[in-house]
Amino acid sequence: MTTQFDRRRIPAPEESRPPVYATAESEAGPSKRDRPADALRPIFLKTGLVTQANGSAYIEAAGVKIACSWNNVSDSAISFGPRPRPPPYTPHGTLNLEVKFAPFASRARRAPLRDTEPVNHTALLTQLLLPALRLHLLPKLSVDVHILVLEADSDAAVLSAGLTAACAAVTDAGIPINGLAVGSVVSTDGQTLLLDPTGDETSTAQCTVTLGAMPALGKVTSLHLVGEVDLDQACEMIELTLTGAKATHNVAAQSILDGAS
Amino acid sequence: MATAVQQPDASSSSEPLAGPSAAAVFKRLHPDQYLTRFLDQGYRPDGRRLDAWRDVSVNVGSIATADGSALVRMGDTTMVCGVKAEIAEPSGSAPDEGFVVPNIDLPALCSPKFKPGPPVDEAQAMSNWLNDLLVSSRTLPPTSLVIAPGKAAWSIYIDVVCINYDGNAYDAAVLAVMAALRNTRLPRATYSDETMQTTCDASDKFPLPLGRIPLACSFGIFQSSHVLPDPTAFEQPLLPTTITVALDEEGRACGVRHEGLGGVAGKSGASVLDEAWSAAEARAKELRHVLEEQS
Amino acid sequence: MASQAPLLVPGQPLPASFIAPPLPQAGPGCYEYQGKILASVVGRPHRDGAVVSVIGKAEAGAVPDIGAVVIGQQAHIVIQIVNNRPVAESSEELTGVVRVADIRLTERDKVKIGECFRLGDIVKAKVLSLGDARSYYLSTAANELGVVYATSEDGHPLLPVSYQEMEDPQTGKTEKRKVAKPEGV
Repeated sequence: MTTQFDRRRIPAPEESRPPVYATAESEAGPSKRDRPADALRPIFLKTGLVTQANGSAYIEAAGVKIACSWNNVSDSAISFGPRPRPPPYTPHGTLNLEVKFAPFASRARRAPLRDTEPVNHTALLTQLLLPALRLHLLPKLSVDVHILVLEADSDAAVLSAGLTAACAAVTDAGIPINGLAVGSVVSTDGQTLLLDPTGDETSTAQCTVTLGAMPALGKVTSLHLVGEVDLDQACEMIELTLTGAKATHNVAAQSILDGAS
Repeated sequence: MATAVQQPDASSSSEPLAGPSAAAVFKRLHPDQYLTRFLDQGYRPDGRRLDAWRDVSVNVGSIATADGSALVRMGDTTMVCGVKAEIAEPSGSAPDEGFVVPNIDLPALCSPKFKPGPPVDEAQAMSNWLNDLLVSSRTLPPTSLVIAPGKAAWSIYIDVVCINYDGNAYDAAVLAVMAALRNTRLPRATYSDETMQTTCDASDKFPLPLGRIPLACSFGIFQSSHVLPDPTAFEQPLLPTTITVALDEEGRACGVRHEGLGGVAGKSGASVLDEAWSAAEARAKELRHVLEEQS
Repeated sequence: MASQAPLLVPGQPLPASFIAPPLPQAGPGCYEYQGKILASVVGRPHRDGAVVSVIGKAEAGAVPDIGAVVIGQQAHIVIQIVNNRPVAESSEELTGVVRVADIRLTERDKVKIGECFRLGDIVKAKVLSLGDARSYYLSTAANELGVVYATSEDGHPLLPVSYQEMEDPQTGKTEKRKVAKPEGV
């Protein structure tokens, strides 16, 4: 990989590696699940944390800490790098979503510029959030949602917690939406279905389903399945994600109400 | 409807069409006059007295994926600093030195002022000041980070991310960095010539060998008349002159910066700086107390 | 506000008392879905005759729409205030343009821009259309629209004296502007 000299940041050594431990981590073994297979970890969600933004939310769930803010209403916003010309007039709004990882957010440091993962997350999260928005009410405007991951456990957890936080931030901003969208993850090792799996569990899983849903409307916004699984079991997994989504929805609705009153 | 807008200079005579809306409109259209009115009454728009600083809190160790971390709140300004240690080969020109890489980022998330993408100008400037401060005050001397000269050394990445930008981000960032560095624990590392590899012992961790711990205090000067400590995001664009004083634990200066042409009318530059210095001395003590309470 | 209606979250149906037949129309903050009316913002429901709406917090920044009255600073007009509410802050500016023909109500062909607006003036205008990709199209062709705040060449705030002139109270000089009729005159 060609490395260009980055004059916007304090220079770092060309190459560095995370420390290697002599006492292998296998000694401790993968962390045991300390809750039933169909139980969620506690969720902490708070809106309005970023006072400078128009709407914001902070979530701690599933080993993930994410701050999210809905910042701009701007016409023809230029979001990702310079664009030769402004985007054409659109009769409805557009959604610009940006996912960014803090360099210290995962075990191996995420060096700026070398981190390509957020591009993928951005595309998936946009799909998860889009069906919840009522963009036809915002002619020619763009809604910019910024997501900053402070601590990450697994990709699936980032997506599901990211969706819950993004939707809470949009709600906090007072943008009309169809219903609260929340994320939920289920993984399976082939036998048992695990709701809200930990990072260790996802990395050893045979299949993981990430689902965005609007439980209030009984609708799914987007579904993302990675791995291999029987059709029957896939349906079971989706059922279980919906159960998780309902529980998350209750927590999210409560914290949004707390934030509003 | 917009009385405040139409008669901005006649506050007392204008019809009292107060209410949150009129005030917000006036604040947006005439920020300088809005600020002047507060200062004339002896207060800042956030309710502080003229010479008051905002409340500060420090939380350390909340990011599990970092080797050391701190969250600092200064008023509404919130900064998270995470320290990550990795192993790198020392550069040929300095075989017995490790690396210290401090960076500050102001992502689009923290304020509508910033665009997504690479660090904005303000963040780049702050990263450089932070680097200068760490180098000049020998907070973390690179020579203390060597594992095997010429073969392996620690590279300490200090990343500060702003979550909520309400002005005076530099003071908050410096405090977050110092708290995170104090919170950092490194594993004992040994370099083996046979395998050409460095292995670490997770059971034996030690704190970083820290030198002087500087803390920064910033001021802005409004219309050549008021020296305002700890400016907010609303005040900052209205303050053409800024002063930052960084002091270590014994009150020795680690860095002093004075930017912008203006001074205070009727006072010499030296006396303004004196004033800022003594205010900074008191504030730095306060910050140090908050910092030490945490670890 | 006494006897408050319950706070609703988006997607939640409005309580039965608000949608008692005849089924009201869905106003701002709510929408019709499968014969029910659901909230689309966090807020309290409110029924006004045949229209129900959900009223959320007003803090969220405003966005311009056709017919909205905006206030902005002259260069190309950077819209700051919409319907008396500050625009959502953003790294991008909402810009508007007043075309020459839309400055005055009468004698449109004799209008000279330099005698109507100067750089830095604060102008109140109405949104004519959403315009092109770049700007909103604005109009000041009404008595109550035009310059609401300006400074003279010497830097003092100007006071309106007629519909096309403003006076510097310190030097007594007058300058030409398309003056907005002050409130209550």
